[in-house]
Amino acid sequence: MEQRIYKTIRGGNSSLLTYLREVWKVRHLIYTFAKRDLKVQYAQTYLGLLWSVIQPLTGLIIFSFFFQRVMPLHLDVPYSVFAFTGIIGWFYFTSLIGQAGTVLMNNQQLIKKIQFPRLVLPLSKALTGLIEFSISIVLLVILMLIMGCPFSWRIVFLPLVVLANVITGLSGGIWLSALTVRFRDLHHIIPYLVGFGIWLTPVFYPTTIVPQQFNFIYYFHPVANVIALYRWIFIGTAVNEMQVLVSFALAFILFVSGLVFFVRNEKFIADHL
Amino acid sequence: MSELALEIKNVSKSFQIHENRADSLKENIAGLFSSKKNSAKLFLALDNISIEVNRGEAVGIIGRNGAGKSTLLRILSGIMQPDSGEINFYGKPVSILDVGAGFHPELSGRENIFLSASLYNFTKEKIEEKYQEIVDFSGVENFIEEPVKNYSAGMYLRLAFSIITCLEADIYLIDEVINVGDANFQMKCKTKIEDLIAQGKTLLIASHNLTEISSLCNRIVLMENGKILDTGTSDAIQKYYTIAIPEYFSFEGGRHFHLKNKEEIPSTEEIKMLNYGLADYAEEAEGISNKKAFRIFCEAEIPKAINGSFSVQVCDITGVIAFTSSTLQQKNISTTIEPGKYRIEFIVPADLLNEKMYAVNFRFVGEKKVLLKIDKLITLKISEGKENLIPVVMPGILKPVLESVLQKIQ
Repeated sequence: MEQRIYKTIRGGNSSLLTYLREVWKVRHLIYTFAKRDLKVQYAQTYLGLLWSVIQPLTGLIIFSFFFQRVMPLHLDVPYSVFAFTGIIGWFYFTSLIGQAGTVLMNNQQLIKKIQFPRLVLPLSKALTGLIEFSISIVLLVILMLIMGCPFSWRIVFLPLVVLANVITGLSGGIWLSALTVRFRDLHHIIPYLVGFGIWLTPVFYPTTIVPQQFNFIYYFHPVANVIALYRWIFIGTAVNEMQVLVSFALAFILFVSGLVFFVRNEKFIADHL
Repeated sequence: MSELALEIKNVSKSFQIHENRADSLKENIAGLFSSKKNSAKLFLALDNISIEVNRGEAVGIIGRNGAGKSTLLRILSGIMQPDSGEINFYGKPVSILDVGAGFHPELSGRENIFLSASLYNFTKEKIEEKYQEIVDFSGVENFIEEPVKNYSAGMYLRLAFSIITCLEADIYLIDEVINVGDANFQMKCKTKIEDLIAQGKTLLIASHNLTEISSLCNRIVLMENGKILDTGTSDAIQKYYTIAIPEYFSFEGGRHFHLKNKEEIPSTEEIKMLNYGLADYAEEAEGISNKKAFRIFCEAEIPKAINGSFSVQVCDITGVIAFTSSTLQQKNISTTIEPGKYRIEFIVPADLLNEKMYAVNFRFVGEKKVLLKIDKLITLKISEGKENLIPVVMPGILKPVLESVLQKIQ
């Protein structure tokens, strides 16, 4: 009698498309993990989710003090609004690098005991980050109202820029998460990346104060362009379209290659934990 | 012909072992610039494993630590990928490698039910449908909104296990989980597994617990060094004894018992052991016959008058005590012992011990405390030899021949 095979396991690679289909089937897990992380992170804290904005707000206060009182920058818009548009993009990016990059290491027990497409874990971090990001956006809007800044029709592009922000962060996060399992050293490198990265990114200063000969780096700096686009949306700063296109293309290549790398290595993840 | 449920064909899996794990990045970078081969060694965890399991069968996998049981189950669960080979499931599998997998201590019992069950691929509707059943089975209803970090270990296990019991599948892959929790919980797990067998589900269970496995499973696979050493029931178990036993169960010189070294026995102020061993036993080719009574004896010196009693405990290989026998149970043996040298004998009757290995512990007990405690004074192997009427190992620590009748009543 010919029996129906329910499932087959064998060695070898599965294609990216088959894998993504697999992830789509269990997409509810992305939501489940995100919900779990938010609950756990803010369980038993009095301020709860507000903690997620305390860090960017502290940054804002320090930058505002420094660049308004100590060495003033001359901008057309209130400095706090200018800095905050940079901070929200930068914090979402770094939370993806930091959280998605370490998510496999932090869920070792689960990975060793239950089977599910591991990509779900870094993806869930994009979702938790999005919740925190949304709260920051609300704060930004409040800040702009207080400062009397006008809103523009360009806000309809916000979702697209957020998507670019997510892809930029995930491309790093996915690469790092898969690599960290093999090379634990990277676990220690991530904080440095984040710490130094803020100086190389126009978060609290405008690109106009950067000497002309260094401007080429923004062609290779997707986060700088994500921030530039946030500023374009909220305060109408001009963007260099060429820089946006080149750097986003780069981020996209990094993202897709990260996915391929992750899927190729997924079967070894449990071996290395 | 019976239907196949699970087919494992020539599955192999190896791991890289780095001499020094921390060097791996350095090595890889260095490896880019030199032609020297990576110093990592390959460790073959599974070597060409093939097992076929029929529908409704319960197969146990036994083997020492590191034999490859868990690796096999991880591969079957899809957590690891085999290097080569193929596995076919003819039915929906579910793997239970841990109780409480996916639980988070900060979340409440209710939240953990939803979390854990969705990790096992339950839809939200399905969980809601099963929710009450899970809560009822676990018996932690009053604490269901509390974070599970505040649960007692028992409550935690009960809740975790309840979720597993509500999983529905055709093929269950189970790793050691039946050995956790208190006696009550273990019974519950065992009953649940027996229920599954009764329902005609297919089971693959890995365990060290031979007693459990031989009572649950109708076939046993013995693994060692990533290979299948034997399958069947009695053969596999017999062979397990020859590989997985501590050295005091390995017998030399054609004898089937082992006496503890005299140097390892402490002398106390109250008692000094002089001599001990077995007497009147009949040796079969495979062990000491259980068809003939034999004696366990000790000779000891008691330097000063004392109130005390002697006892022996007969344990199975894992240390579970089958019985204890004491001179206190004998009316004609006084507990007041004058100074002098004594010989103590315990007669083990025929038809009591099973075809297994046993350890004999010796105790000299004073009025309020144990004065001398020697574990594994004698270890021995029992066999039925040629007289063996039943060609399979009977489950149980002991195998007494009870008087039995078969009467036609209608």
